[in-house]
Amino acid sequence: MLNRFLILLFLCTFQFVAAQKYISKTGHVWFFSHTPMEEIEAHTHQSASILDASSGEIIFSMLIKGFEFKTALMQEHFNENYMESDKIPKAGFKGKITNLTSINFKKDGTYPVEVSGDLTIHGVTKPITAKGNIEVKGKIVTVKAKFEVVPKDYGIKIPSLVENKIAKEVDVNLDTSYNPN
Amino acid sequence: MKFNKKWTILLIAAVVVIVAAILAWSFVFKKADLSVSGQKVAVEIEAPKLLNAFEAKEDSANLKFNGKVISVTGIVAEVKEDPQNISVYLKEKDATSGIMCSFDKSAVQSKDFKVGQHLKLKGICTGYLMDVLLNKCALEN
Repeated sequence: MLNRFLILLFLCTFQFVAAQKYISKTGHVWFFSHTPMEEIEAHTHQSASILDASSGEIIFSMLIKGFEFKTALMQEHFNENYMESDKIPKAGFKGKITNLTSINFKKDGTYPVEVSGDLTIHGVTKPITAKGNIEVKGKIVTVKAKFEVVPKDYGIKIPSLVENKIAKEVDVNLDTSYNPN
Repeated sequence: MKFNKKWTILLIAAVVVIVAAILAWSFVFKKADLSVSGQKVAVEIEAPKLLNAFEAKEDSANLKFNGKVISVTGIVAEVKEDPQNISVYLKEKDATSGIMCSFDKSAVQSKDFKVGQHLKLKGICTGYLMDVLLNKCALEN
């Protein structure tokens, strides 16, 4: 009886110690829109994210005004006409790593990862799944993943005049390095 | 070719149209600045005061600072180099949040910064997540 109690206590302690949270404030998130008429690309290097290695919970947050484009006019249109960033300044993701048991955060290596959750853009929330890799190197954990976004699904209105210039599906990529919190 | 009035007017008109087209083209395709080094500062503020403004009332701070070139003075707590940019974190010793400043590598190098130094920089304020965020940053003297 005492043995069982001690084992249980040990497991509880282990669980508490294993609850490792990782944090990133310089996540790189970028998106591409390819069409024969126009190539659009924008990058932010300031996405914030928290990853809970024990529960697999992962949260991303980014500022729309933080996306940098090659031309000033494109950035202006993106913010003012499409994303209305004065009204809706942020976009984010809240979800979980669905294959958590196949990732060992204590062992260096690259592990395929699948993440599932809710993506919120332009104030609209939709469920998504993203695939990628988690690289563990000592205390640093790097997540690289990609997924597609259909702008229309998030209430982003694209005038018919420029419909041919914006892809129906926009490729979104992320490359985020975390440190233990 | 006779240089009569009609041809002269046509020539001038053609030149005007070409110049206008060049100006319009350069406006549409104007490359975004990688840093605000050539831009004038709209607001000068100390890092803790800027942070406080966002922590106290985010909506008002967004209206007041977002999209503007802000000059910030603060203490360097951390410097991080990534493949494409350098992030400098201005934070007071016992604070939990600060000002995260993103520099393009064309504007600065990691060795330009030292943890603990008092730094004055300028950048475009984009809002607040866990910290106040500035991008397209440049050093100020």
